[in-house]
Amino acid sequence: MTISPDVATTPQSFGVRLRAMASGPNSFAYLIILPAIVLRLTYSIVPLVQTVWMSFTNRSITNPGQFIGLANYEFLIRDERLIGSLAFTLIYTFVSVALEVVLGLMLALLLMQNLRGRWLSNFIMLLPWVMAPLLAATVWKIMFYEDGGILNAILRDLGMIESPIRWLSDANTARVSVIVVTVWKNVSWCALIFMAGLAALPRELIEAAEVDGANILQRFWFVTLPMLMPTVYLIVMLRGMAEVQTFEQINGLTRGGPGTATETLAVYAYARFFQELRYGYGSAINLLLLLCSVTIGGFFAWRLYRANRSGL
Amino acid sequence: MHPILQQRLGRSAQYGMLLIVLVMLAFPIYYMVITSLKPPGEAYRLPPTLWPLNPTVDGYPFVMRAWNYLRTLLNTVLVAGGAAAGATLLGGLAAYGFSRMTFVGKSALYSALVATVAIPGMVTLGPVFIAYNELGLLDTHIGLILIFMSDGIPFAFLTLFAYFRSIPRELDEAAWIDGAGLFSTLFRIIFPIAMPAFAVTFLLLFIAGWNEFLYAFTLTVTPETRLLTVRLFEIPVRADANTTPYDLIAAGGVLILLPLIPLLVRVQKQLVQGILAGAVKG
Amino acid sequence: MAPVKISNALKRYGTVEVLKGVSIDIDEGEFVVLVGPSGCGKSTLLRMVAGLEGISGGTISIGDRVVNDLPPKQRDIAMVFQSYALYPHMTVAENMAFSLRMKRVDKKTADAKVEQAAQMLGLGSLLGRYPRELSGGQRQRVAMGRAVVRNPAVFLFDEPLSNLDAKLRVQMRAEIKDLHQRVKTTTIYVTHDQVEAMTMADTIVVMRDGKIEQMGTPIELFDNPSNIFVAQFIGSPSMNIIEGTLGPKGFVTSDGHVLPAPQSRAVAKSYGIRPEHLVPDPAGIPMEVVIVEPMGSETQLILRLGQSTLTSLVRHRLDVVPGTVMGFSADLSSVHLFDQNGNRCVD
Repeated sequence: MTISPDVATTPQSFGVRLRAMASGPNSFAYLIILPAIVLRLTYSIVPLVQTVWMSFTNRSITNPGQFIGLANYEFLIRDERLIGSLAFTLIYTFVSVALEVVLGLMLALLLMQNLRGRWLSNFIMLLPWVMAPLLAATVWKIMFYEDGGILNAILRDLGMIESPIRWLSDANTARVSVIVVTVWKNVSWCALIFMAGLAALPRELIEAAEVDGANILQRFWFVTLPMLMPTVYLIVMLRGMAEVQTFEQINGLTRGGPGTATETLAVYAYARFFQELRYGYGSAINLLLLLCSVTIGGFFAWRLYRANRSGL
Repeated sequence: MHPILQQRLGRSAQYGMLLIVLVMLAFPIYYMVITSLKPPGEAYRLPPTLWPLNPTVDGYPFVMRAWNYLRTLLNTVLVAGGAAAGATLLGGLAAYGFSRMTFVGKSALYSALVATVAIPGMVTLGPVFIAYNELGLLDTHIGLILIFMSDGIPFAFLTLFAYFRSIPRELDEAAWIDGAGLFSTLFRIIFPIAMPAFAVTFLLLFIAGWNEFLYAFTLTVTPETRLLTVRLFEIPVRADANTTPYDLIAAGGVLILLPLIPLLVRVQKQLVQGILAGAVKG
Repeated sequence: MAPVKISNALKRYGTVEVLKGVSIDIDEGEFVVLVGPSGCGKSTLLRMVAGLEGISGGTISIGDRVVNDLPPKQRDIAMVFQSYALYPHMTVAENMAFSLRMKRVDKKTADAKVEQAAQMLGLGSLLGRYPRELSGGQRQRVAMGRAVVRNPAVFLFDEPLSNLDAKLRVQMRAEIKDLHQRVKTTTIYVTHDQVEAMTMADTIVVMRDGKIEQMGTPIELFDNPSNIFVAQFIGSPSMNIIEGTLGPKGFVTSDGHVLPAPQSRAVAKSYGIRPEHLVPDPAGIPMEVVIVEPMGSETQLILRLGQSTLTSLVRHRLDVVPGTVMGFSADLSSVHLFDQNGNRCVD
């Protein structure tokens, strides 16, 4: 079909549309978006599908794997080590994210007071952020040593403790310790995002509240904080998904110990999958981990979407 | 109280709080640095000291030899740099497509790309490990670059997508009218304008790759392919020692952190100005 | 230089029709201004001529070529955007030379053309600067230079002055007109500002809701608006319109006042008089002055006649306090009558 001027006058003749689709921006769009999408999906959705499939088999390093239905999942519910690691993962995620948000917001408010030495304080603040999680864990491990560790020495010199704190060898203390390290490492990132969120708030609203007679706490509570909620959701979503799959800090600090007191789902999955090489059962644990991550991410993405849409 | 006095007191309190926070944030890093400068005997001394009494840098050459530092550094630069460059380019191309063009399945593809962020690395690592083993990609740098790249694509995409949306469409249109094709528009107009965003995206992904441990640890086997962070798990031991060599571990930590400092200085301004937040909010 | 012929151009987004069959014949070298309120489709039409929007129906030809399916670069057009769309990473010279580089014009020729265009627009000393280092007026001139360099068949301007302050706008208006008089390139110019349209156009096209309301020279549109919309759109302050009926003694307003009016066989339902034609006259119809707006050389009065509010623009200074009742009258030849559909009454 040739396009003569006469044919072209017919509104949107099929030939014109077809040609526009074949040679126009449309095909070019796929050309430039697909490399990124194909690579990303190859490394996310494809392995995910394989993980789902393997979770229904008893595949291991020595066994090519037979379909065993829900047997791995039946074992999951009865696996006390799994229940323990799931519980710790959830508590760890909740407490770390809560502390990161509260302390991060406080840090952001402090840093936005136009204090001097901004460059230096920003630089110092970013140091924990730029460190590898494993390196952060390693550094803290040096400080955590019970005899000869600097933390116990300082606390003793200040007269705050009499006997050394068993930072990493007591189950409950170790749980607190890994959270301390995580919060130390990530609080700066949260402060950064909060600073951006705070800077984007319209000044007039806060000034209007001031004119209306609200004091500084009332202004924060009734004006700033409600308007900052999208930022809060964003941070909780991203940090929540990051903390729930924590692996490196735990490995660097306690390797899940003492016993299995600080074992997270990721650490446990790694042990089953890569150390015991039980691919089937490891995959089932991984799917539980995925469920946690997707629940957190999905819930807060929804809250964020709703908050943004309502214009807050 | 007099308002000015009150204000002064408030300021002092703020500086006081800032100082406390900064000390808490910086102390572990300070302690790592001074520990790395202590001679072995002092490193195990009880009680530990807050500054090295006899500073020495003897630990560093020891760790560098034990880790084959230069080779490992080169590996890390190659893998983190290659992956960051690839992810920035592919993410940038996709971001341009999504910011400017309409095509069938756009919102579905967008969701697919962004939603993959919720899949933990641990979940995909298993099958990737098995596949790499079969494909001969285990223990290769190209295997690491590919998975790092895939890991960085959503971030690069979202950052650059937000940036491209801030570039007026009229610039693209002016270029078309000036006779530029779509590739000329991209490489002569849009990408050069977006250069600052590309630079920051690249550097942040480079830092992420540098610090990555899980993939780098699991997908490499031999010392020749290993990256820096993984070396932290190989604590160098002196022949005669039977205690944990704090000074050597600390020196290793400094050797991993130090190369990142110039990069941190370079991206600090943009980080504080909130390029991250803008990206994720999109 | 080339004529542009737009025949029955249609534009649809899904089921929404934003252009409902527009036809305009533009002669070689003519300066046509498309004017209308926002959303009237004037920018869409311009972008269709440029090739930035698809054409849902009808044809657009430039010279003797139908350009419906041609990409922008094959249409031999240049466009000046509202935001100027200067490439921020290129100098003024590079901005102007970009289209020549895309056409693979050799560097020497390109440099000469850029130099020539820069001379014409007084940009000589700015060639090495970047857009961010220029003032608004200079940016505007560079955007024009970028268009001039290519010596295209048609110039397209999309509200090019709306980002400038009032004073600069008047100056650039003159410069654009001056440029057109020198290069004589066919020009299509979109604006929402009727003053720009009046001062610059050979032909004005007034558009509303995707249709042409009236097309003609500025004076034709001013003197003989074909309907109330055009009558009120062209001219500032805008024309007074009073509802009522034309009777044998004159025009009777809906609240019973009688205004002198020319006789017409048509059934007139609206009476129009431009503010500058409503002049104080002790023998005229008494009206109450509500607001006085002294503007230096002129005085604008807001008047009340029964329930109607009228504006009068007096070409001199007038000392009067609100509440005063004054007589006003109008020359019969300056009265416009419209029928119930708002169209001009023709005898």
